[in-house]
Amino acid sequence: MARPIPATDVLLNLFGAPHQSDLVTSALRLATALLDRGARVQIWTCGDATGLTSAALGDTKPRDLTDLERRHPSTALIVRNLLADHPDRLYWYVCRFCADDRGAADQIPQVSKRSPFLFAEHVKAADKALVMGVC
Amino acid sequence: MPGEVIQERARWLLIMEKAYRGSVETQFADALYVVPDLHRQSGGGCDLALRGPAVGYAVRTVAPQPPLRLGGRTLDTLPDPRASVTKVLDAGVTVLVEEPDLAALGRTAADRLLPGVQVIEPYGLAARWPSYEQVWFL
Repeated sequence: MARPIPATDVLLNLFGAPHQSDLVTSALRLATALLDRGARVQIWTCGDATGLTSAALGDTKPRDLTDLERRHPSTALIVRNLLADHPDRLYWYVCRFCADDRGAADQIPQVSKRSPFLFAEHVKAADKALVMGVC
Repeated sequence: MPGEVIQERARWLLIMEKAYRGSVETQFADALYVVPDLHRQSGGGCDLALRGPAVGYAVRTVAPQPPLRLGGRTLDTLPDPRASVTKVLDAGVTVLVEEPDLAALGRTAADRLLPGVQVIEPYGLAARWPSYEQVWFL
C-alpha cells in the first residue's frame, strides 16, 4: 500500500551534486528560511545529492588531520537534526534509483527512499516546486 | 618512506581555477586543504597559482564570514578560504595570482590581497610552465 505524501507548501528538488558549488548550502538555507516562516517543506534528492544522507557518512566528517580535536558534523547529521527540529513540517525524500545507482542505498532512517515513479505525486502534493541544479 | 624528506627540490605548479566547491558538505576539507601536504611531499617546491574566481580566495572580505544557522544548529565550521590560503603561505608555498584576474574582482581587490601573495604580469603564468617539473590542476 502506497505511503501517503503529506501536503506541503514547497517542494525543493535538490538535483545538483554536492562538492561542486554552494547549491547544497543554498538549499538548506532556503529550507530553513521557509520553515522559519511556518511553511511545510519537502526535499527530494536525486543523483549524487542522495549521498548527503547516506548512512555510511556517520555523524562526523573524517577528522581534520591538522586539528584533531575539532569535530565537524556530516551532512547526514545536519539533515537529521534539521528534521528533528521540524517534526511534521519537514520531509526528506531520496530517489531510490539514484541512491542505488550511486552506492548510497543505505540511508539514515530519518529519510524516506521513494521510487522515481512517484515523483509526480510529490510535485502534486506541493503548492510550489523548485528545481535546484541538475543531476 | 612516509614522512621522508625528498632531498632534491621539486618544482610543482599547482593551479586552481574552480572556486567555492561546497560549504556545508565541505567545511575544513576545501580544495586548498591538501596543498600544504603536497608541498611537503614534493620536497618543499610547490607554487600555487590561483586563477579566475579562485583569486577571491586570496582577497580579504570587507566583513567577517558569519556562521550559518540551520534549524537549531549553528554551523561555524564552514570553509574559510582566506584562512586556508594563509595556512598555505605559512607552509612555505608561494601563492601567485595574475593581475587581470585580480583586477576583475574590483578596483579595491589589490588593496585587500592577503600579505605574501604575489601578483604576476598578465599571462605570465603560462610563460613560467617550462620552469616546473610538473603542473597540476586542482
